[in-house]
Parts: sequence; structure tokens; C-alpha cells
Amino acid sequence: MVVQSKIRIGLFVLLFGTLLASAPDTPSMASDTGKTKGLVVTYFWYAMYEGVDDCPDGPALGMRRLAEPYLEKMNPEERAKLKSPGNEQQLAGVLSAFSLGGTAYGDAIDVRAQMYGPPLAPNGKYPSGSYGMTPVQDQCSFPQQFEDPPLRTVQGKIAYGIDLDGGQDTLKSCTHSNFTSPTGQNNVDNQLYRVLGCVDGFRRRAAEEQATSVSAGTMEDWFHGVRKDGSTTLLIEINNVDDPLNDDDVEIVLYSSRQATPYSGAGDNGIPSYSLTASRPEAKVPNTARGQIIDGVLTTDPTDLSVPFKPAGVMDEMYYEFRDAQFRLNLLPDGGAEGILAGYFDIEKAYYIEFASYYDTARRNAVYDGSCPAIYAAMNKMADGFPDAETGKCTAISTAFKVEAVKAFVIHPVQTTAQAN
Amino acid sequence: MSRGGCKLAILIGVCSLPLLTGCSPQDLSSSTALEPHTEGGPPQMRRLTEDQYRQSIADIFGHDIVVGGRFEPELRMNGLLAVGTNEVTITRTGFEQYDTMARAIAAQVLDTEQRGTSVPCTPKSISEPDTACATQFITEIGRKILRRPVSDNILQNKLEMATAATRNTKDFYAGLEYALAGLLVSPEFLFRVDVAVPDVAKPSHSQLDAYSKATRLSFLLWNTTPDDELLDAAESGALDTHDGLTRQVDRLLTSPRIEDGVRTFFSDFLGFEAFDLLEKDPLIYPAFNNRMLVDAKEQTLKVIVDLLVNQHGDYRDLFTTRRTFMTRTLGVAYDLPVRPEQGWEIQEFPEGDPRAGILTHLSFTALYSHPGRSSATLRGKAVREQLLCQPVPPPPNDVNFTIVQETDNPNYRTARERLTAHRENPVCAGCHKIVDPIGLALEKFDGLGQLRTRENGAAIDVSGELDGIDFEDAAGLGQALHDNPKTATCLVNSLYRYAAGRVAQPNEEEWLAYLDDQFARDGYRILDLLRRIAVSDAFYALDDTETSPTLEAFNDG
Amino acid sequence: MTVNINRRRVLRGITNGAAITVALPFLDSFLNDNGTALASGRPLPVRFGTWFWGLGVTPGRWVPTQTGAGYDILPELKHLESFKNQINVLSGFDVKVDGKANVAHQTGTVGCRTGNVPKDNKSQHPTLDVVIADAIGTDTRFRSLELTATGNPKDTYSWRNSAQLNPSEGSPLDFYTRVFGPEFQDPNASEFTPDPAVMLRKSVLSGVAEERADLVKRLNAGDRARLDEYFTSLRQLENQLELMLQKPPPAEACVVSESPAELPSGYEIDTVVANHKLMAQLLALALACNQTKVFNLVYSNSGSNIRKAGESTSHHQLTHEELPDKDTGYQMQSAWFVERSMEAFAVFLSALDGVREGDGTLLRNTLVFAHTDTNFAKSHSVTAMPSMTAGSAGGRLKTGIHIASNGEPITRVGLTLQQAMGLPVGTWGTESMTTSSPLSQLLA
Repeated sequence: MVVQSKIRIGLFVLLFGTLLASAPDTPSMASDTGKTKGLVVTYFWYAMYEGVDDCPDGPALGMRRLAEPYLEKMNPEERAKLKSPGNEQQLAGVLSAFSLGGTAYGDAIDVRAQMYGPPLAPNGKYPSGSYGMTPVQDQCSFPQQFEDPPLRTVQGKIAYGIDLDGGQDTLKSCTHSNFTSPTGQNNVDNQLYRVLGCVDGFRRRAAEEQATSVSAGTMEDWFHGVRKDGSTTLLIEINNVDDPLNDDDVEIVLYSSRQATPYSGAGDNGIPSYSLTASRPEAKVPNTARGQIIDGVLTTDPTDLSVPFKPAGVMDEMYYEFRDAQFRLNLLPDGGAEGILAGYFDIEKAYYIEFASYYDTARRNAVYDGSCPAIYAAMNKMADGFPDAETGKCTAISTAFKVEAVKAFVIHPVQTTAQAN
Repeated sequence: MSRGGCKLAILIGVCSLPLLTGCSPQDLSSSTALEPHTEGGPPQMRRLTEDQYRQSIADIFGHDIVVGGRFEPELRMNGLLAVGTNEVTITRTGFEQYDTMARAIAAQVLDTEQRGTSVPCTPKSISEPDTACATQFITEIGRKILRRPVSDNILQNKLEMATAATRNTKDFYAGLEYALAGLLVSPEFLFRVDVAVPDVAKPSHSQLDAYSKATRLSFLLWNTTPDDELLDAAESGALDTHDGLTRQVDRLLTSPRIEDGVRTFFSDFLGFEAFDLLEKDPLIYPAFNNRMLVDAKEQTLKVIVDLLVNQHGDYRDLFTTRRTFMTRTLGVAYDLPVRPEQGWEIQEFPEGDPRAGILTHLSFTALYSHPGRSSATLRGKAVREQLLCQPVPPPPNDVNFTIVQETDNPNYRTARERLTAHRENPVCAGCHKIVDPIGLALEKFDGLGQLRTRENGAAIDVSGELDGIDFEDAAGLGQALHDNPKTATCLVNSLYRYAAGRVAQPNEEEWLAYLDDQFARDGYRILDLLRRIAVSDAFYALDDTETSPTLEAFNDG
Repeated sequence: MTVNINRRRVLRGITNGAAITVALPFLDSFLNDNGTALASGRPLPVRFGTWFWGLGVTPGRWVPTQTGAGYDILPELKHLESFKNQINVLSGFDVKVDGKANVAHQTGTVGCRTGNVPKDNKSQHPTLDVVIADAIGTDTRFRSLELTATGNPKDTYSWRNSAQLNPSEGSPLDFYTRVFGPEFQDPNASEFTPDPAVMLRKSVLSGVAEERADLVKRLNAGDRARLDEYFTSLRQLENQLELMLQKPPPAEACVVSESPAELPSGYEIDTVVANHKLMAQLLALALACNQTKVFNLVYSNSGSNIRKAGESTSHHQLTHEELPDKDTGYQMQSAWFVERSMEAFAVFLSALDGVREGDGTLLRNTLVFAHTDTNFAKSHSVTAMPSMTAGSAGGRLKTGIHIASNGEPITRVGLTLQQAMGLPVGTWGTESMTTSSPLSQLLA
């Protein structure tokens, strides 16, 4: 391990050392990229299969749908006024109150409690404090305190992903059903897809299936848009590649970069061969994996892996913290790659990152039309990894991300290289 | 000796200047005795180029002065913009721009922060005219702007302007501002106007006066206005002596600013102004953008300066050198890693890369291509016309280009196949025969200059022939061009045409042949060639039989 | 009597403090022996303005598929078909965030207008219109005029920095009163005060002209002809300045109408359209009467809250919530709003084009920059931003062209606008949006 790491470091120290130590007119050889392959990720988000059989009962009940009965219960005049032109702010207020509480529609959260059960806080008081970023009462920050109707989850048999547990309940796994991959691989673990796959804003094909969808494609557009706009950039470096088609020991390292992901002006296509400076993520979890290339397909051995990203409108870098993560990437002849990163998310972290890490969690809840309490409950129910030693309850949930990348030159600043050990 | 060592050595006085060529003993001045006599050409009135205007302003007033605005388009004549400067004038729109810039510059020069350094004296009162101080300012700054002493008439004129404006505005510096703005729109600033005086040695002939000499010299070698020392040399008469001239030429040649002169010549010689309007189809070349063009031009200029100035190398090596400079934007097209986030990195094209020499740079392959495809014909034509000085006639009006343009025709998958079919037309064959074998050697570089090995699935054959020399690939073409005697001759002719701002006259043929010979003897060093031109009589000779302006005429007024 | 003596007399006239009240006969002698220039038209002022619409365009329905002159019109530009040759369509230019956050509906607008993406949502850079007004707007009654058809004064995208916003006028009546009320300066009124600074500028040129004789003696015939062209150009500018010293010709189109009735205001689309149309006409009149040379008109706000009558869902909500139509593949209701925005732009251009000025129209003597806050509102993207210019800035900008960029910074557009307005600016924008390359194919 140490030796191999030194080989990689040595290469760059050598290059930089030459550049810095010599007179300005001494050429440094263009770096030998033969043993190192660089990639810049042009797509990284949940691999959503969206089969036509996935949600036979329709989309999961989200805030807009949940609030309908409340609006129906209002006197007709008030409801008409609320839904009339110019009053959308008030309507939004109701929806917000429905998940946040608050004074403008003081009874909304009480009615909600009557319809879907009271908050489960002790002493009959609404919870307050800060789970996410703001000290407010809201169902997204305190999902365990509310009880919404159970989430409609994916019923289909096909999903993207990898067999993470050897096809059976292992020490790491709780009882769950497996998917089959679109290419026919059995025992695919992707329980998080089961949870998110019917939430309106996480689906894109919803439009074709149900006339009632209100926010199809929203989440993908947001997260992919952040990458397209240059706010977040993910680099992958594959080291110690002796043979690009078959190599039994390679190393994969993830980096972020402050430079924008290069896309062509029109469309979603990444532009290959950019040089991008790597910065090592600040995450606590490692960002290195080991693996092998077989017939041009890179697979990595299960390891914990943190993948840096930056959500829309958020200044600070965050991390998807995978446990037992595995890459499965087709290495393309043009130097690019496409495939899957699969693994487990701790339930609390998975929930937090998608549903509770934003300033206005409740408003977003309305936009993607989800119910935070129902999603949280479903995540717990569907959890299939890392059972608690005492209770046996699973604490993590399997997931799979779609990865697309184009060839890039990963450039290491001297300081990072020096600290790499 | 290490690369660039000679130049360094010169600066620290180890080598003396006549030894510029590789520090080997060779008395350059003795061979000037053999310089053939010329009658010269007509006097010139050359409009300052945008670069020359900007650089002059920076040199006169300091680099903090912002010169914005647009300049009138330049004109390419006889293969050079430099010749076009002697043809263009100033249109109404152009004049408005000069007027706007002049006022903006004057306002900056005389604002409260700058005036302390710009004005050599302190007025008696800030709100009253002060003739003595205004005279000093106009005289001193006017000499720099007009590149010769301010005439009495101009001084009087500007003084009146300053006085009137000061009275009107109750501001001494505002008065100077108006006077300065007037100097900056003067035709004697915007144009470099030659002044003729009788040749002392041959009274029946004319030559440039000392200030015109200083101007020619400065713009040739530094591409900017003469500095104080050069103007002093003109004023003292030193520039009219061989020793005085040589001293100034060597001073300019050994300054780092010689780089500006060399860059400007090569930008002109290689037609780089065409980059300003170059477009590429973004669907075909998604990596292309404007930044890439800017860098592509700069890359080649950096290689030129590095080889010809810093290393004092052989001009012909430009066509074979693997040493280059790269930015991240360029690295995308070259498919090479580049370490610095900003700026440039020195690199060698790696082993196995077919690139060598500036013909394989984007600045050539992308410039001589169509927006959506490469063009062996445009590339071959550019080599013939620009680098070998061999004009290629335009195609006949009625020619059918269908075969060449149909890049998706399955019968003709590569450019070579298409052009071969096209050459079956005897009207076209004559020209294509001398052009295509050159351009086809570069066909592995697509319309943006990116490397490819196949076109429409077919392998690309890049072998060819240049004036009887066969070669296998682009590097072979570079070597053939390097070895072709016309390559150096063309450079000599072009550089002299550039220096003189006009085509060579019939009476200068012998001189050019001499210069060509000396270039070879000097090892094809561009600085030596510049020196030979700059210290020659030919460079300053005037044939002004048409109008005979005289020294008397200049002094009259 | 030589020109020289005339000019010197005038210089003394200015010197004696007589400039402000300088008499016309004096000016006659001041000018030249070429009296015909006086009768010809004083150059018409060139105006600059921005026109803003919120929420971008629909992918595949707005950006022409062909570039250059003679580009094709897609459905969302259909209302602008009749102005096709008086506008330019600009696509594919990016706002570059350089790793900073793309704040929804802010970053795109700020980036387009200032050439900078701020770190903390607080812009320290002036908007284009302010920069241009600093250069050309100082000799009119209003340095610039801001209006918004939404009625909300906070809907403004004009600032020196984020602490100094120029608020928008939200009511056509208030706008009318402000411009055409008691303080209105009728350009056709009888008093006129020549600007002494212009007199001095003209003297500078006259002085250079006097130096001609010396130089001519040194030139051969060909170069004399070239020098004559130079002096002709100088003379033309001199004449222009002379005309500025005279009482301007009547502003023919400046016929002030009756005060408009107060209209309701708000974000309901019919209200916005009605207010916008009235504002367009009043603004055109204000320009025709030379009350300002710079304006900013907001049709809908950044992240538009405009909505249809009888429906509670605003355009903004639709862009996030509306599903692409099964058959057409796009968000049809959102696209309807985009088309209405473009229709409004056509209404605005008609108002400018309806004012005769000299041989052309007010539109010809104006340069309008129309832009928005995002490319595709559903994802808030600020790459490949759509924008347009309209009018030819008095002939300084070519029109009828679609330029499709490939991810170059949108500051190239802003730089071009400044240069077309005659500003001596060579570089604009910050970080990776820094550019020194204007769109030279547009600059006449």
C-alpha cells in the first residue's frame, strides 16, 4: 500500500520538481499518462430505472396531495379565495404551515395532526431546535415526530445497481427483496431506489405515466444543473494501470476541483482532455478504492468512499458517504467511462443529505412533492445493510448512482502531493 | 553554452555585439562594406497600427493609462499589413475613435494623481494660465508624441489652446488637457511621416532625416515610438553617423523589447489577424472557443520568440522544433496535460506525437481550414504563398467544387481521395499539383488542428512531396521546408518589405540577394538579419524624385 | 480673413468668460467658410437600454438552428419575425460561476449585467447600463430611467453596487408625471445654452486643422490625398461639434400626449402587458424628447411571478412543476409565457420603431440589450444564456445575425455593447469571464 502510493506520488513530485527546480526555459516532459487515467465526471446522480410497473398506485403522496383534504375541509368561500389568482402566496403559506407549523395558518398543523396523526413529541409540544440548518419546527427536520400515510414505494422488479450482499442475507444485511438489473443480472440491491422511485420530483418519466405529476425531473435537473453550472466538479483518477483492458490491481482516487466541469456549449456532452486541478476532499471517510480491470470493465473492491458534491445554491462542499462502495465502470476507447457506483448509505446521512440539509426544507418538500416523514419511515423500513449489533435492525440502505465521465488530465498541486501520505 | 546563453553573455558584456551569431568571431561590420548601393523607394506615410498606438501611449505616459476603444481595420497588401499601413487613411468613424481616446488619455494624464509626474513644472496658480509651464509641458511631451521637436507653429497653437481653456475652466491642468488632446489627434502622431533631407555623402540623393530614421528604427525593432535616448541621438546628429547608428541599433537589439518587434513581424508575416474573424462549427468542434484561438496565436509567437530571440536560433528550425508552450485551453485540442491553472507551460511534443514545427500548431492548421473541415488546399496554399513567397493563382470562376466539399461521399472518404478526383479536371490540376501534396501532409490534423488517424473510417496517408523532396509525414514536410532554400529567401524578402513598408524596388534586387547571402552566412539568425537591415544605407535611402520635399520645406513654418 | 484669425478671436471670446452667453453671430464666424454644414442635421443622439424578461426560454423552441444572417425563426421568436433584421439573437454564452454558488434567478442576471459573479450575493460591480450612462448620460435631464411593468419598484436590475439600486418606476402615470410633469424640459423650447466644453473640443480640432499646411509640403501627391481624407474626417467631427453648439433642430416626434389614466398594477399577465405597452410608448416619447439616453425596462422580474388570470400558479411555479407535454415534449404552459414575453418585446420594439428620427427611426438610433435570468428555468442553468440586441446604435452595430457561442463568457456581449456605444473599454468581466474579445462580426 505504502509502496504503491509512493509510486504515484513519486511521478508527480518528479514532474513538479523538474518544473520548479530548473531554469524557466527547461522543458518538462508532458506527463506520462500511460499508467494513470484521469476522468472528469459529467453525470453523477441516482440511477433511476423508472420502469412502467414501478408505481402502479400512482406517485407517492407528497405535501401537495396531502394538503388537498385540508383545503377540501375549508369552507368553499375560503378555499376559492385561497385558490384564486393573486393568492398563491397564501396558498404556499398553507402548504408551508402544513409542514412547518407557524402562525399565519395556525390551525394547519393541528388539522394535519388530526388527519395524519399528532406530532410524536414528548409533552404534547411541537419539537423545536435544529436538526438541519435552521431552528424551526418542521416535519423535514423532525420526520420521526410525524406520521404521514405510508410512502408508495417501487413495485417493479428491475433496477440499476450491484449485488452488494452476495444475493443473500449476510451479516450485513436484513431481509429484503432484490431487483434484477436491466441487463439481467440478478440479486441487485438498491433499496433506496425502492424508496425514492415513486417520489414525484425524483422521477422524470412520471409525465408519461401519470397526468397528476407536478414536479417530474426537478431533482435531477437541480443536481445535474449544479454540475453543469460549474459549482461542483468531481474527478476520478485510476492509478497503476499497466494494461488498460486487463489489470488485476489498480487504484481509484476521487477528487474535487474548483474548475468547472467542461461541457460543450450546446447540450450535455462533456469535452474530453481538459486539465483540471485536483483538490483532496476534506471528508473524514477515505476517497480511495482498489480494484481491477477485466476486459475493459473496472470494478472496485467494497470500501467506504466519500464522494464530494455541492447541492444547488449551497456554498459548502458536502459528501455522499458510501459504505462498502463498489464501482462498475466501462472504460471507453475514447478515454471516457460510464457505469455505476453502488454501496450503502447510513439512513440518517442519506435522509439528511436529500431532505434536511437545506435552509428551506419544507418549501422544497412542496416542490418535489414528497412527504419527509413518510420517506424517513420508508428508509428505515427498507434498510438492508449494516445491522445494529444489539437490535439487529439495519442502519444502512443500498443505493446506486449513475456515473458518466470523459477523459481528463488530473493535475496535482505540489502541496497536495506532499501531504498525500 | 546553454540556450539563451549568448544573449545573456552579450548583456553582461562578455560577447561584443558584432558577435551576435552564436558568439563566434565574425566581423559583421566589415562585410557591410560590401553592401550594394540602392536608390531606395518613395517616402512613406504609415498609419500607426493599434499595437503601435497602444505601445506608444504606454511608453510616453506610463502603463497605467487605459487605452480603450476600437481601431479601424488594417489592410493587408503585398502579403503584409505593414505595407497596408502606407495605404490606409483615417475615416470619419476612425477619427471619432481617435478623438475619444485622445480626450480619455489626456484626462488620465492630467488627473490629480498623475499630473505630478506628467507635468515637469508647477504652475504659479492652479486656476490661471502659466505660459512658461505650459510651454515646457507642450515642448517636452510634444517631442515624445510627434517623435521630433515641436515646431513653433504647433507650440503656439497648443499654447493658445491651453491658455483659452484654462481661462474658460479656471483650471491650469484642464488647459493642458485640451492642448494634449490636440497633440494626440495630430496627423503627425497618428501617421509616421518620412521627412527627406539631402544625402550628405551624395548630394544628388535624398535620405531620411535623423528623426525619421529614429522612428523607422524604433518601430522596426521595438514596434513603438522612439525613446528619449534615440531622439537625443537624432537631435545630436549621432544617428547620421555610422558609429552612432550602430550603437543605437545594438542597444535596441539587445533590449528585451526586441521581442515586441519580432512578435509584430511574425504576427504580420503569418497573417495572424485572420484569427479575429475565425469561426468554427461548435457542433463539429465542441472543444473550440475564442480563448483557444487567442492562445493558439500566442503559442506560436512564444515558440518564435523563444527560438529566434532567447535562443538566438536558426529561423528554419521553426519548422522542425518539438519544443512548445501550452495552456490548459490549448491542451484540450492537443490532448496534452497542462499543469498551471493559469498561464503557460513549456513542453516538448511527446514521443510518438506527429507534431513538430509551427506548421503543426493550431495557429496554422486551424487558421487554414474551413469552419467544419480541414483544407489541404488552404494549408498548401499558405505554405506556398506566405512561407515560400510563391503566389498561387485563384481558382477559375466556373470551377465545380462538389467533390471536394462532399465530405460524406462514400467513394471519396479522405481529403486525398477527394482532391485526387478534383485534380482530374485539367483546369484545376496545375495549381493543386503544387499545393495539395503540402497540405495533405497535415491531414492528420482536423479543421481545429486536433489529431486524428482516420477520416470517415479510412486511414489517412500523409506522405507527400515539396519541390522534388519526398516525405512521409508532417514532420517530414517541416524538414523539407527547413531545407528548402526558398524558405530563407522568402523570409529575407518579407522582412525587408516589412521594414520598408513597401515592396522592394527594382534597384534593390542586388541588395536583397546580398541580404539573402548574409542571412545564410549568419546561420539564419533573425536578430542578425534585423541588424544588417537596421545599420544599412538601403534602409534609409529615399527616392523622392516625385515631390522632392526638402529640409527647407520642413523648416518653413 | 483666415480661419486662423477667426478661431483665435473665438478663443479670446471664451477666455473672456463670454462662452455661456456667446452670441450666434460669433458662432457663425467661429465655424467656418463652409456654411452648408450648419444646415445639415446635428447628429442624432444614440441611446442605450436594457429590456428584461424573467425565466429564460424553452429548450429547442427559441434558439435558431441556423447561425449568421438569415437565421431561422423558431416558435418562441415568432412574434419577433418582423424585427428579424433589426435584432441579433445571441445564444450559447455562459455566465461562469467559477466554483461559486449559482443562486437561482440571481446569478444569471447579475453575471450578464456586471460581468461578475459575486461570492456572497452582494454585487460590488456596476451594471452595464450604469457604466454606459456614466459615459453618455450626463448631458440629459435624467442620467437614466428605470421602469417595471410588474408595478413593483424593487424589480430593478440597475445598480452601481448592491447598496445603490436604481428603483424602477412601477406606474405609467407616475412615470408620465416625473418626465412630462411641470419640470419637463421641452427640447423645442426657445432657450438654448451652448456647452463651453464642446466649444473647446472644437477649438482643439480647428487647431490641428491649422497645422495642415506644414505637413502637406512634405508629402507626395498620393500621401497628400490620404492626408486630405484625414482632414475631411476631422472636419466632419468639427462640423458635428459645431452643430452641437447650435440650438438643436426640433425634436419632431416630441409631442407630449395627455397624461395616461392610472392602470391597475400587479403580476397578472394582462395587467403586466397593458402596463408594459403604455410604458413602452411613454419611454419612447421620453427618448424622442431627449429626456434621457439610457433606460432599463423590466417586463417580468427575475424568476417571474407573472401568472394568468384565474389561475393561481405563476410562471415561476410552472417552470418547476409543469410536466413536459406527452406529445410535444415541452412544458406548454411555461412556453406560453415565454412566447408572451417575446411578444411584449416586439411591442416594445414597435414603440421605438414608430418614432421617426431623421431618415430612420428611434429604434435605429438605439441599442437595446434584452436578456433574462436563466437559460432553462426548470434547472436554473446559467450556461448557454439566451439574449438579444435590437437597434443598430445609429449604425454602429450590425443586425439580423444569430451568433451561437460555444460556452464563451457572456461578457463578450457586454463588451460589444459598450464598444458599440463608443465607450473606450477594451476588457470587461472578472475571473474566467474576463474578455478582451468583442463580437467583432457585429461591430460595424
